[in-house]
Amino acid sequence: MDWFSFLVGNVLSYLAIVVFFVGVPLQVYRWMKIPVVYPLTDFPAPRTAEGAFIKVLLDAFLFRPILLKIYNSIVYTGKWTDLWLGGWIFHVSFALIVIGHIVGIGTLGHQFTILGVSPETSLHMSELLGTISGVFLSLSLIYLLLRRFFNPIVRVMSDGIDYLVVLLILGISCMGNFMRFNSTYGVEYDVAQKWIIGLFTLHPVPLPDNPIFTWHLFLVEILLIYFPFSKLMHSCGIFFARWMITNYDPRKVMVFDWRSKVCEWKGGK
Amino acid sequence: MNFDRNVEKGRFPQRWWEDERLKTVQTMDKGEKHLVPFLAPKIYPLEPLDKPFDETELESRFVSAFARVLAQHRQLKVYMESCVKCGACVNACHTYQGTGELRNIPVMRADLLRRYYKKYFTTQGAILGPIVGAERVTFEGLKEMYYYFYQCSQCRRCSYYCPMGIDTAEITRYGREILVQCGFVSQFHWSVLTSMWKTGNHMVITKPGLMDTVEFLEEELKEETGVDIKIPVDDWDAELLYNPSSADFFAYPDTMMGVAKVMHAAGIRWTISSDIIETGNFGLFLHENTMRMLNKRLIDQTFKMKNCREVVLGECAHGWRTWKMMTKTINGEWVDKRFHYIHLVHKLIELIDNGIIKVDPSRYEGMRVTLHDSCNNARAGGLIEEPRYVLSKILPEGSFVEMTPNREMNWCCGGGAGILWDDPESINLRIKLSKNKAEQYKSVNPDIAVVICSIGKAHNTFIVHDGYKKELDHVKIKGLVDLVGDAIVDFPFPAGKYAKS
Repeated sequence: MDWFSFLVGNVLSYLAIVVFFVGVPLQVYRWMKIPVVYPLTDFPAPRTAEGAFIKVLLDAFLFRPILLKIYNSIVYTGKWTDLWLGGWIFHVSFALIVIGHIVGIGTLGHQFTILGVSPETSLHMSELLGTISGVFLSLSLIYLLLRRFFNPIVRVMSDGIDYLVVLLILGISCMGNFMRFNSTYGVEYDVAQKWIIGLFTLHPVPLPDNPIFTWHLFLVEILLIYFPFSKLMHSCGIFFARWMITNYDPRKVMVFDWRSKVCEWKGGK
Repeated sequence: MNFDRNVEKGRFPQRWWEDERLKTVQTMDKGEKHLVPFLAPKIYPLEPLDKPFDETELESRFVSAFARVLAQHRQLKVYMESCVKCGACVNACHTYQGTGELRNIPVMRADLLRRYYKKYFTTQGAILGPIVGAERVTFEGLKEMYYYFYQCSQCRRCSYYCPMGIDTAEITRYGREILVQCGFVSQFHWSVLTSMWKTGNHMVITKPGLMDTVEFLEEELKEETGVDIKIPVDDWDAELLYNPSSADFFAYPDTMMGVAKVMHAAGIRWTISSDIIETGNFGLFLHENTMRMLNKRLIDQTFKMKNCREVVLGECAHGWRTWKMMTKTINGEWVDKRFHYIHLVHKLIELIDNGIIKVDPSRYEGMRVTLHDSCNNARAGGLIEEPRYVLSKILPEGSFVEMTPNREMNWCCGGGAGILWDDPESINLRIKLSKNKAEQYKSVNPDIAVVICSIGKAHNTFIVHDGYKKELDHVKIKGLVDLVGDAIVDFPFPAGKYAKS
C-alpha cells in the first residue's frame, strides 16, 4: 500500500465526507438565515403554494426555461435545444450514476431483484444501465466543454474554473467508463462495499491495488471537497431562486423591521 | 443639491462626509448617511470623474456596503453563488441586442458585481483569485460597473430565460445601491431622488405650481367636453385618493384628463394629494431608503382622510410593482388594514363592469390599437390580462392587434429603470436600446399604442417620433385611461376625434 493509496483511501475520504456533508447544509443555512424581504414573483404565477411547488419542480427537473424559449434566437449560441439536450442528458445521467453507485454498491448489484428477476439478470441490468449512463455522461460533457470553448459568446463569459470543473467530472466519468470496459481494471461490487463499510465503521480497509480506481476516487474526493465552495451549489440554489420567482402569496409576506433589523412572517395562515 | 464637482485633487477634504458644504441626505436609519460627493455629469458617454478618495477607502466603503446589502437580501446571495454561465440569457436582453456590447449580456453584466463578491466573500475567490474570476475593487472597475449597470433597464426578461431563475434586475438594483454608497450615481437619477425627498414627486412640482396646472387642465376639460370637470386637490373628505404620476401634469395631460373624466362620469368624490403626486418610485432602481420614504409619504396622506378606503395608483409601472409587492415589507403589514390600494386598471374594470360608466366602442372604428406590456406591469406586477379586458370593452371588434412576443415575454422598450436621459449625447444609445421594440412596432404598424407607464410613454414617444421617425411617425402613444375617457358617452365630444387623418 503506497502513500497515495493510503491518502486517497483513508485520509482524504474522511475529509471529503466531512466537508461535503457539513459544508453543503452550512451554505444552505447561510442562505436561509437571510430574509427574503419581498416577493420577487415572475407573473403569471400559480395561485397556490402547491401549484408553485409543482411548477418549481417541473422547471428545475425538465429545464423548462431553456426548453420553452426557443424563439427569438437572434444571436447564435448554438440552438437552444442543443443546450437543453446537452445539459439535460448530462444531469440525468449524472443522477443515474450517483444513484446507481449508492444502490449498486449497497445491494451488490442485486437491486433489480425486487422486480422479480434473478440476481444474475439484475447484475447484467445494473451493468447495462451503468454503461449507458456513463457513456452518455462522457459524451454530453465533451459536448458541453466544446460548446463552452468554441462558442465565442459562451467562451467570453467563462472563467478558467468553469472549464476545470467540467474537466474534473469528465475525468471521473472517463475513468469510470475505462474500468467498466477494461476487465483488468474492473472493480467488483463487494470490494467497494467492503471499503465503504470499513470507512464508516472507522476500521479502514486498504484500497485494492488498482491505480485507475485510486485516481477515480481521488478526483471524486476533490469534487466533493470543492462542491460547497463553488458554483456547483447551483444544485441547491436553483430551488431557492426558482421558488422566489414562482411563489406568490399576497397575504403572507416576510416583514422586515428596518429599525430592529428583525424579519418575521406576518399575515396569512 | 449642488455639489462642487471641480474640487481639485488633493484639495478634497479627507473626511468629506463631515464637510458641511456637501449636504447629506438623512435617511430613516439613524446615523446612516447616503452621500454623493460628486455626480456624473452625463451617463453616456461617461466622462472622467474626480477621484473622491483613494482606492483603499473606496474598497472598504464598497465592501461594507456590499456586506450590508447581502445580509438583508437572500436573493442577491443566492444569485451570486448559483450562476453556471450556460449562456441561456444571451437572447433575452434587448440592451445586448441593441448595442452588441458583450458586457451587456445579463450574465456578463452580473459578473461585474460577481467578481467582487468572489474576491471578498468567498473562499474560492480568496484562494484561487483570477482563475475563478475574482478581482479587487478598483476605480476603473467601478466605473465600468457604473457604465453597464446604468444600461440595464431592469425589465426582468432574463429571469424567464435563466434555468436557475436568476433575476439580473435584482443584481443591478443592489449594485447601483452599492455604487451610490461609493459616490457613483448619475446626475439624472440623483436629481430625481432628491426632488422626491423635497417635494414628493419627480418634477419638483410645488403646491402653487400644481394648482396652476390643475386650473389649466380644468379649462382644457371644459373646452373639450362642455362640462365642468374638477380635479380636486387636498380634499380631505374625499372617499378615494388618486395617486397620479407627476409626468401626467406636463408631458401627458391626456392621462390626467382621462382620469378626471372617468371619475366625473362615475360620480366619485376623489382627490389628489399635493404632498405626493407621484406613483413612481425611483428608489426601486437604486436606493431602497428613498423607496421606503416615498411609500410612507403616501400612506401618511391617508391618515388625514377619514372616509378614504381606497387608494388608486396611477399609470406607472414600477410604482405599481413597488406598491403591490413591497409595501407590506418596507412599511409594515398594517398598511393593508388601513385601506386597500388598487391599480387604475382595476378601478376601470370595476366601473365598466358595473355599468357605472358607459363607453362607446364605435369611436375607435377602423383604428389599429396595440398594447405594449410594460415590464413592471406584466412581468413584475401581474397586470397582464386586465388591460386587455378593458381594451376589449372599449374597442370595436378586430381593432386590437397583439405584438409578438407579447404579455410577459414582451420586449422592453429600453426606457426602464430610469434610463430616460434627456441629454443629447445619449440619443444614439437610446435608439440602440429600443431597436427591438421599434421592430415590433414596424411589424404591427398600429395607429395607437397603449402604454400604461409614464416612463414607457416618454420612451415610446421618443421611439416613434425621434428614433425611428421614418417608419413610425404616425403612431400615437396613449395611456389606457385616455382611451377610456374619450370613449365615455356622457360627454358631447366633437365627432371624429379619432378618425384617421
